[in-house]
Formats: sequence, C-alpha cells, structure tokens
Amino acid sequence: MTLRLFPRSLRWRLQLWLAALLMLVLTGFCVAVSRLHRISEFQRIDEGLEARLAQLRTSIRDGSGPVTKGGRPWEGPEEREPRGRGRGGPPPPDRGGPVGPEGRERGHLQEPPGVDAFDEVISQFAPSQAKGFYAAIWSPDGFPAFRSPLAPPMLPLPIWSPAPGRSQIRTRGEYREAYYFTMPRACLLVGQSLRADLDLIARFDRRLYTAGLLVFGLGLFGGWYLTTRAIRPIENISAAARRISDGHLSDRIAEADEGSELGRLAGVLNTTFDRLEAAFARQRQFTADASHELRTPLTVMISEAQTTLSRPRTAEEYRETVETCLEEAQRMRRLASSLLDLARLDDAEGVGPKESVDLGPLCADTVAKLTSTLGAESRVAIQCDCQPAVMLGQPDALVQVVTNLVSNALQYTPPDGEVRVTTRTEAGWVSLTVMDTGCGIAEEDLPHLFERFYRADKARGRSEGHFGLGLAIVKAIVDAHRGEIEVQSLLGQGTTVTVRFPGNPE
Amino acid sequence: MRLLVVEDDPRLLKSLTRALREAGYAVDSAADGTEGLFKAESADYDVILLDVMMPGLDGWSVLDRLRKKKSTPVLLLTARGATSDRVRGLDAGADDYLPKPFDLPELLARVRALIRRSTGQSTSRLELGDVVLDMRSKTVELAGRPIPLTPREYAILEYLALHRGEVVTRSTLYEHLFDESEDTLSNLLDVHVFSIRKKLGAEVIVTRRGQGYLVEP
Repeated sequence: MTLRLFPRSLRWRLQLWLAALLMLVLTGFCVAVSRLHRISEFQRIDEGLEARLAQLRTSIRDGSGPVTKGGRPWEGPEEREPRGRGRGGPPPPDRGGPVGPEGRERGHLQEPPGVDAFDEVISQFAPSQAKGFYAAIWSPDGFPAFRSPLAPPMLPLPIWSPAPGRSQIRTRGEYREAYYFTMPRACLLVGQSLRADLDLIARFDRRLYTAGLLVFGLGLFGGWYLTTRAIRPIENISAAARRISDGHLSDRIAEADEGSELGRLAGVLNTTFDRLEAAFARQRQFTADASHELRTPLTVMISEAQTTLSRPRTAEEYRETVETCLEEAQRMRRLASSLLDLARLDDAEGVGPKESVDLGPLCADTVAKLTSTLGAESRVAIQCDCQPAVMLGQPDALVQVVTNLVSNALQYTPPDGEVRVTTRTEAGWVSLTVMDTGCGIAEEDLPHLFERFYRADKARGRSEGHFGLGLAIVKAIVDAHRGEIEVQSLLGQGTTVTVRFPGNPE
Repeated sequence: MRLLVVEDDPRLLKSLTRALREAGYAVDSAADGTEGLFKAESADYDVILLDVMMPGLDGWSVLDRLRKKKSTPVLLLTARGATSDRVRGLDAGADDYLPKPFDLPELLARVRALIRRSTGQSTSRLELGDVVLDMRSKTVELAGRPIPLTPREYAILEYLALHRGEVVTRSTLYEHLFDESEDTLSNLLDVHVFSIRKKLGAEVIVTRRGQGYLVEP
C-alpha cells in the first residue's frame, strides 16, 4: 500500500528524494546557524553585562559605596561585619522577593558620596548614558540598597548559589542580568532589556529561513533539470523498445554516448535486438519453408484427384492416382514427424529422460538395421568400428542421430565409396564419427549445414524427397545432450562428421 | 494452345503436366529455372506456369530475364501467398498469381483467362457466323446444334478463331498445338483441317497457298 502511494515515475521519485534530502540539509543548516547566532549574540550581551558588573565590583571594593539619604553608609564587600547594617531600618524583605516601590524610592534617594570611583560607575547608569543597562545593589540582609533609574519595576533579588568569586547570569522574561554576591552576601546586579536584541535575532532568523527557502527552490529546479537530462536517454531507449515491440524489428536505439552507462546499456540492448531480429527472421523463414514443404504435396494430391475425377477412368488410372496420393501423404507424414521432433526438441523438455547408454552397441545395431533396410539398394560399403562409449543420453534420440548421419553419408557417397562409423571414449568424452568418401560439402555451405530446411545440394535434395531437416534434428539432439558437433569436408573427397558427448564412466 | 510448366518438384510437375494435357493443351515441362528460361525464350508459349521457390534460378529471376525479351503471359505458382509476395510478383511482370495449394478448376480458368486476355478476347464465346465456340466447355455449335470435334480439331479451330483475320502459318500452328514430346507428321495438320471443314462447312477455314490458314473476321 505504501508503495502504491509513492509515485511510479522514476523522475518523480528522484525529485521527491532530492526534495527530502535538500529539506533535511537546509533545515539542519538554518537551525545550526540560527542557534550559533543566538549564542554569539548572548555572549556579546553577557560580555557587556559582565564588564559593567566588574566595574561595579571594582568600585565597591575601592571602599566607596552607596549611601542612603539618612547618612547611613553601606558597608562594602570589604567590611568585616556582615550583620552590621542600618539600625532601625525596616525588616528585610525575603531574599528573591519583589522589590517594592519602597526599594526604588530608596534607590532614588541615594546620593553620590563625592567624587569617587563608585559615583563614576553609578553615573554610567544615568538614563542618558545607560545605553539600556541598569544596575541594582542589595545589602547583605537582602535590602535593595541601590537601583539605577532604568531598572524595571519588578526586580527580585537573585537566589544565592555558591559560585565564589564569579559572576552569574540569569534571564528573567525579557531581561538578561549578570549578578555577583560579595562575601557577606551583598548582591550586585547589572541587567539589560533584551527586547531590541531579540527583535534583531528574530529578524536575522527570518532572513535566514527566507534564504533557506530560496536555496530549496533553486535546488528543486536544478534537480528537476538534472533528472530530466539524466532520464532523457532512458526515455529514448523505452521509445525505441516500444517501436520495436510494435513490430518495427529493424529499429534500433540511437546510441548517443558509448562511454556512459546508458550508452553501454543501449549498446547491449541493440545487440539483443539484433539477435531477436535474427531469431525472428529464422523463425519466419522456418515457417515459410515448412508451409512450402507442406503445400507442395497437398497441391499434387488435389490436382491428381481433381484431374482423375474430371471424367470416368479405368481401374488402372484410379490405382495410379491413389498411389500418387499415398506417396504424397507419406511424404507429408515424414515432414510432420520431423517438424514434431524439432518442436519437441525446442521445447523445455528436450529429449526426455536420460539414462546410461553405451553408444558403441547402439551405433552398431542402428547401422545393421539401416543396412538391412537398404539391402542391395545401396552398394556403399559400411564399416563399423564401435568401441564401448558409455554416456548419459536418451537412446531413441541417439539412434536418430546415428540414422540421420549415416543415411546422409550414404546419400552423398557414390556406389563404390565407403562409409566408416566409429565410436570412442577419450579423456572423459564420448565421440561418434561418421566418415564418408562422398562428394563433400562446399565451404560456403558448411556454416548453414545445421539450419532448418537448408539443403547443400538443393536440386537433388528436393527431388529425392529430403526436406533438409535431418541435420537440424541431429544438432538439436546433440545440443540437448550438451554435446558438440563438428564437420570437416573436402569437395570431391568426402566428409567427416564428429559428434562429442560428455562421457558417463559409471 | 501450348503451355510451359516450370516446377522443381518432380511429382507436382508430372501431375500438372498431366492435368493440363487432359484439358486439351500441349504442355512442355521444365524441372528448374534454367531449363524453364531456356525453353521460354526459345519457343512461343501461350501461357507459362512458373513456380517461384526453386533452387538455383528462382521464379523471380526467370521472370525478370524473360521480360527483357518476351511478353508471354506468366502465371506464378507459389507457396508464398502473402499480399506482399503477390504484389511483388505482379509488379515483376507476372500476369496472374496463384498460391499453392490451388484447385485445378481455378488453375484452368485462370489459364483460359490469360489466353483470352492475350488475344484481346473478353468472353469465352467465340462467334464465327453460324459457328459458335465455347472456350469454357471446349464445345462447338453450328446453328445452335452441337458438333463433336476431337480435342485436336477443337484446338486448331480455337487458335485460328482467336487470331481471326490473321494468316497463321503452318509452323506457328504446329508450335502452338503440339508439345515437345510429340512427333508430328507434316500432313497431320491438313488431315485435321479437312475434318473440321467436313463438320462445319468448307468456308470456316480459308487456306492461303504457301502462307497458311485463316479464319476470316
């Protein structure tokens, strides 16, 4: 089901994968950049805060400090009596609790205690110079001792945590604050509103993601262009294949680039198409030949019968006609059985079940039968030298091989000639050799010898009722036994046909 | 009418020759293309029946070479019955095309049609005054009464009637009425013509002394 939801088109699949990949990479990149940018912005802010906090610390360590209007000096961090703070003051608020307007009022009440470092530092937090910074100081008992004018109304005392000698940072809403606890737990704080910075960061992020989207679009466009280009040869190939399957068998794929993978594929396909076309041509030729061979006897039978029936005849004439028709029918039967043999051999079944066969005696028997059938008709001497040759084979098919080869040899050997049949076992192979001293086969005929309906001696083969299928059947049977066949011939001197089969020594 | 059959299968050749002879034609036979071409070029046949698929010189080549010299009507006989084969055959100069296996009556009808066409005749009835020849049944009527003629007599009359108005020499008549296997006597022709005149009237065939015979238009 999930596969079906996925588009079938290769181009769309590639495009989808590309989009997913691009999306992943770009998102990762944008998120990383955005995070890094944010971190570096906060670092910058924190550095500014800490620089100011350090100034504040230094100024307090110098001995000066904020003084309330009541003239009560506030002890600096150097003071040895942490509990010695203002007498008669209001009870200290809870640490971390909100600083009320009272506290701010106190801050406002504070006055510069003269020209010293503290005053100078404090003056930096005046609204005109503060650049958005604000500062606050709490006394060790948690009282807000100082508050710069820009400080937000709600400014709680930071929670103390052990970090001796180091400043700490906190983010509170839209405020970023650096604070420091002195030894007697007085707290110094410098803060800044983040609003402007957060706006800047957000604007940067927007620009970053817009750029990312743009790159994504460009990537998709480029990917579409590339996949189109990459797929075009495939489309050419499929178009050519479609034309060929529509029956234009001689069409071929135009090979653009031999070096590329698709060019090589096109080359391989073209070679395949060549083979297929040749096979089709052979098949067509075979069908045409077979039908020609069947039509001729049919024509004879029809014409004989119609001639004879055209008027009354003598018994002798009828007899002749029937004999002619019988001869033709037998010729057709021979052809039909040869065609059937070939069809069976072409089949997946091949020759049928194989068993262990000794080619030697099989060959001798077949030759003996052939000789007795031909009788005195043939005056060719047949010599049989059949040694044991055990192989795995189908006996009937092997008999046919011997019969076809020997009758072929007899047919083309003049009366005073000789045909020699030999079987041997050598080096794991079984061989059958049929040698004759006949007229031989012309060199140009040799490569076609095993083609169906091929007759080397055309006129003679036809008139003697041979179809040119005998050797084709032999070849098919030998192939089915995984054997080899070889023909050597010299015109006028004779022909030697050698068949080799893999031996079966058991 | 004299025909030539060129066919490489000996049995079919024999059978066709026999059938055509029975139909009243003088028939020569050739067992391959080379022999067929030689015979076709050396004698004037009325129709040539030519097999296409032959070893050696095939039907196409025979037709091709023959057409350079003669326009003898050619009927192609072949096992290849596809339209493209018929078109090729007719375009190559064949006058008709008959795929195997064929029916003998059709073959004979086509041969008759070819003969008719080559002599400019449109029907199979030939009328010479009172005498009417039916080329289909090979019978003759005189004033509506059937007159029995021997096949040879009919053949002579048919040939002369198809070439009406032409003086046909004795040698031409011989060539078209007797096949290569027959030994003809020189006065045999006169015997047949005498017999025809006796049956159909003296005026049906005119003798031109020293030239030949004539059926007047």
